[in-house]
Amino acid sequence: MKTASIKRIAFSLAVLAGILFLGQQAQADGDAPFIKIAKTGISAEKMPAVVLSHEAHIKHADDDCSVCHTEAEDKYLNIDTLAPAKRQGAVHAACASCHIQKGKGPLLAQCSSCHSQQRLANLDSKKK
Amino acid sequence: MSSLQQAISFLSGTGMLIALAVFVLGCLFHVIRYIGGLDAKKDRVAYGYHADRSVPGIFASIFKWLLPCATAGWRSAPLTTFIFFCMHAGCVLVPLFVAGHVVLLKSALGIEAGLPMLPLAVADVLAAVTIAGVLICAVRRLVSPFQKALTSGADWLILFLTGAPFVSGFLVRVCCPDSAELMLVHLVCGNLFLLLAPFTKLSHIVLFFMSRAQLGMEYAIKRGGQTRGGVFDW
Ligand code: HEC
Ligand code: HEC
Ligand code: HEC
Repeated sequence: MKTASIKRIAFSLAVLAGILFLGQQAQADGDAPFIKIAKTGISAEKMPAVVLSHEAHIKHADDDCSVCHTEAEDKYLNIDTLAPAKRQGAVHAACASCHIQKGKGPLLAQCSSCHSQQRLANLDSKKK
Repeated sequence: MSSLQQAISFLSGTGMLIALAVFVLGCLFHVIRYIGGLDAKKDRVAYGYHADRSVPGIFASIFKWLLPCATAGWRSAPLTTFIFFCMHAGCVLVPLFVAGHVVLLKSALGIEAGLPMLPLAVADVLAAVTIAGVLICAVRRLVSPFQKALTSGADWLILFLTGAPFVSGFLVRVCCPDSAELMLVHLVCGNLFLLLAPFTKLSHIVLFFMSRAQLGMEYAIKRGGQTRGGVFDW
């Protein structure tokens, strides 16, 4: 192989690594396109964790963070302050009611569109 | 909302509750009609007497037929029995305890507590086994001469009513988790099962228990049934 092509490959790899690194930084900052929902006080046991297209959803809410963050910015509607038995119903109702209202996005019956094994795998593989 | 979403919403909410109500009331009707059809004189069984023997007899008969090897009937055809039990385990456990059903029922009824949920992997295996069981039943009806002679349209109907929700539900799980169309197919099939079960041979869901109970009583009251020590001393 020529040195020129090796250099080119090395350069491409470096750029890729840079993008991945920056992506990871953005994730940590909370403005990543996708985030794993993890602070609702519900332990994901029965279903795969939900991966939310956070950036797209900010647009769906017309940039109004308070639609989903009533107090703390990284908590969804402070679901974690509800009684444990109420949390799952509350989170489902809150997510699905907007989808019903907008006529877009998964309805409650479409479990695996939110609890998507594939999105979770994608997110996890990006993190590595 | 698109009409697709409207259909999904309805069939997984109010529509499901209506179908469930038809199913429950239909089953209840079968129970009442069965009991009303008992006739101590015609059947020559004193149903009203010997409750000390007949009540345990009821439970013994039901219980024994719910165990794969506990009756001579089951032991006489081990392979059929094995397939039969695997299939019925899925038929009973999956619709009742699969996570999606539990969550939707809770939300439709507006309650916080629900049935326990099966782990997804367990539900997947049970569903696959049930689908295989339904297919084997279908093949058996086509090839076995005895089965062929006994098979009517009503048998094909209940194999279809049972198989369709399992196949569509399984497909949603394993191949197209995001397909709204397939979800709609599953919802239609599932609701159809509930709506039609009381009016088809699927009524054996309750009538199995009724006829076992009747036979258990008969054997306990006037023959050497389970509660008389198993064998009647002629
Ligand atoms: C559609 C609802 C929704 C909207 C709108 C929304 N968020 Fe979020 N956000 C969430 C959810 C859900 C989480 C995850 C909560 C959890 O982990 O339990 C989250 C998490 C976060 C986090 C933590 C990220 C992380 O990686 O853990 C930050 C920061 C945040 N949001 C900021 C914002 C800001 C700023 C806005 C407004 C521009 C906004 N969000 C709008 C739903 C929303
Ligand atoms: C402010 C309204 C709103 C809220 C609240 C909301 N969504 Fe959405 N969501 C949408 C809309 C609109 C779409 C449709 C996007 C499209 O199809 O273009 C969508 C789509 C989705 C999708 C499918 C595709 C995608 O873009 O990711 C998922 C999954 C999803 N939402 C999950 C959630 C979850 C989980 C919550 C609760 C934490 C939630 N949504 C809350 C408006 C909302
Ligand atoms: C609109 C998106 C959405 C849909 C559709 C949805 N869920 Fe959820 N679900 C969530 C979110 C968000 C959580 C909170 C997850 C967390 O905190 O980790 C959750 C939590 C749960 C939990 C508790 C955590 C766990 O894994 O044990 C269960 C169980 C659950 N969902 C089951 C279901 C079932 C079954 C369906 C289909 C009937 C369903 N969900 C449909 C968004 C959704």
